[in-house]
Amino acid sequence: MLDNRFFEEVGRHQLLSREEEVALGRRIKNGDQQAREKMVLCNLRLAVKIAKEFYDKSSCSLEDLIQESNLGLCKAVDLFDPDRGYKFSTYASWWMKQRVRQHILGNSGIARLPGNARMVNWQAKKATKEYEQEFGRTPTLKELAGILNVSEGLLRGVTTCAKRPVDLDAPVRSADGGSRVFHETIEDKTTRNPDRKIDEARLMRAIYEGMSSLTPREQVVLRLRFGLVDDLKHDPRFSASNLILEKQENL
Amino acid sequence: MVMPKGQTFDHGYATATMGYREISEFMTERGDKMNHSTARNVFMSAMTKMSESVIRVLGDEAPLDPQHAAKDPRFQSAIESYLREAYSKET
Repeated sequence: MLDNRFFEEVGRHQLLSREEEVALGRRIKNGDQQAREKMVLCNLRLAVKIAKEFYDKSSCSLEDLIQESNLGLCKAVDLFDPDRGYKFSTYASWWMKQRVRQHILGNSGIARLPGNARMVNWQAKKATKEYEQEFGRTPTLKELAGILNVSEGLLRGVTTCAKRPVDLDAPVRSADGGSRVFHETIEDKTTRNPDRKIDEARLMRAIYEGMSSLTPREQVVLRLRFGLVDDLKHDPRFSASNLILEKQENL
Repeated sequence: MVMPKGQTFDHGYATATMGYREISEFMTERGDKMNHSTARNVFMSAMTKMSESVIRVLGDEAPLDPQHAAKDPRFQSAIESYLREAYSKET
């Protein structure tokens, strides 16, 4: 767990001026370890800031993200070329963000994905976003596989593995401050809505009443029309003699 | 082009298993001589009675004109599915 001492320590180091950055950069290029250490320490604040930016969007711990950001900072210090004319923070922030992103992607799914699979997942997310902006709907798996030029099977596997696990016993926040857990809020799709059930029962009653008000002739025609004729030929109520009798009564 | 069995309405054709001609032939064979127009009239009379019954039960939620509802293919297919369910429970 990070305490205030760490942040105080980070804040103790002064930011470097442009000239100091160039001078340190040149010394680092010549193998000066002290200069390297100073460059790292003076830019720790930036590493913490970037880690905090990503902390809100991920489920990883802040310590891990700061650690990864620091590793990115070390890489940037080693590769920084002061003679190119840009600021160290501009250059280093890309390395730090890359390390942090990689860490988040590698630790946020059900399974740890290899780099190429993470890349496919990232591209799929990006392509989906662009597709939605252009066409106003989510692309199908087939369309997305076509855009990324990968097989549907691979894409399905990668996107499934990259999904975040859900804790079914995690408490759910509600307006009334209730203490329900997540699995209690999941809809049971096998059970029918009680309101709908009541409406259907009322309708069914209406159908039965309607059927009982029909004459045998109307019942036969209705059933023939809808193809409900399996037992019609053997039903005595609808025998030819009954139907003729009804017809004669109506005349 | 083969047209579906049924009648045109605001919402297209009401498809059915048996056409009015086939119904009239079936009924004629069984001794109740009728032509296709009569078969349609008997069917519409049955549907009107069904819609009256539905309107009675549902009250304000249902359409007010039973004859108009009886002609509606959506109403007819709804009645068909309920009847199918009722018959499957009986058998």
